[in-house]
Amino acid sequence: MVETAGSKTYVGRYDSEDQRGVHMLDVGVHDVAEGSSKEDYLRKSVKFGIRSDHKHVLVPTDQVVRVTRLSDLPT
Amino acid sequence: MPYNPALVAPMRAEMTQMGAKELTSVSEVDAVIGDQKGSMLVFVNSVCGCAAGNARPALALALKHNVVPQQVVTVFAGQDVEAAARARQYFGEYQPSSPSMALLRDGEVVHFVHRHQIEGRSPQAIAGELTAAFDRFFGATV
Repeated sequence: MVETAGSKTYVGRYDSEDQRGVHMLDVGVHDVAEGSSKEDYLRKSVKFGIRSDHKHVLVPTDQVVRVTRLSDLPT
Repeated sequence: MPYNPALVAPMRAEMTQMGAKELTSVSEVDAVIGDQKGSMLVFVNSVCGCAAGNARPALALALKHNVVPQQVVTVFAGQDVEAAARARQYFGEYQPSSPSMALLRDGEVVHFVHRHQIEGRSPQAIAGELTAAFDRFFGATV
């Protein structure tokens, strides 16, 4: 899971990191600006798995706040 | 595109050697998982070395436990594409990932182990969670 300085949180497979940012594969995106609960989204992702919205996402370095294993989140 | 059959043959063999029944077609999946009774574990196999390379030995370890599913079956994602897709239809709202494991009781998924719960963990750790799930969902009720 990659939390950002903006409204979006990304869950997916951590692929790599370079000077541009964090590359993720098979990525689900939650945007708190759309009104739904981030905690609920993460809870469902832990239990039911990641609903992939994008094959590949690059999260820019300056947006990355925290990278956490989804399996480390409480169920 | 499926991988070279020779490449995946050892990964298939690892499953059948632990007693898993391979389901390679839609009709086989429907025959075994459709109208399923009792307890069953469906292992979605994968060529992914970092996760499946731990998941298969983990299951082999877990199957030495005193409580185990009555049936263990496997489909191979990315290889037996249609069979894997069909099996996933029985998993309800659980999202596809591979490798993964679904524990079914009378046709209902009672526990699911996703790829994100396998990757980066030892076979022993994964097996520990599996046996706990076996006890919880397949153990005798008193």
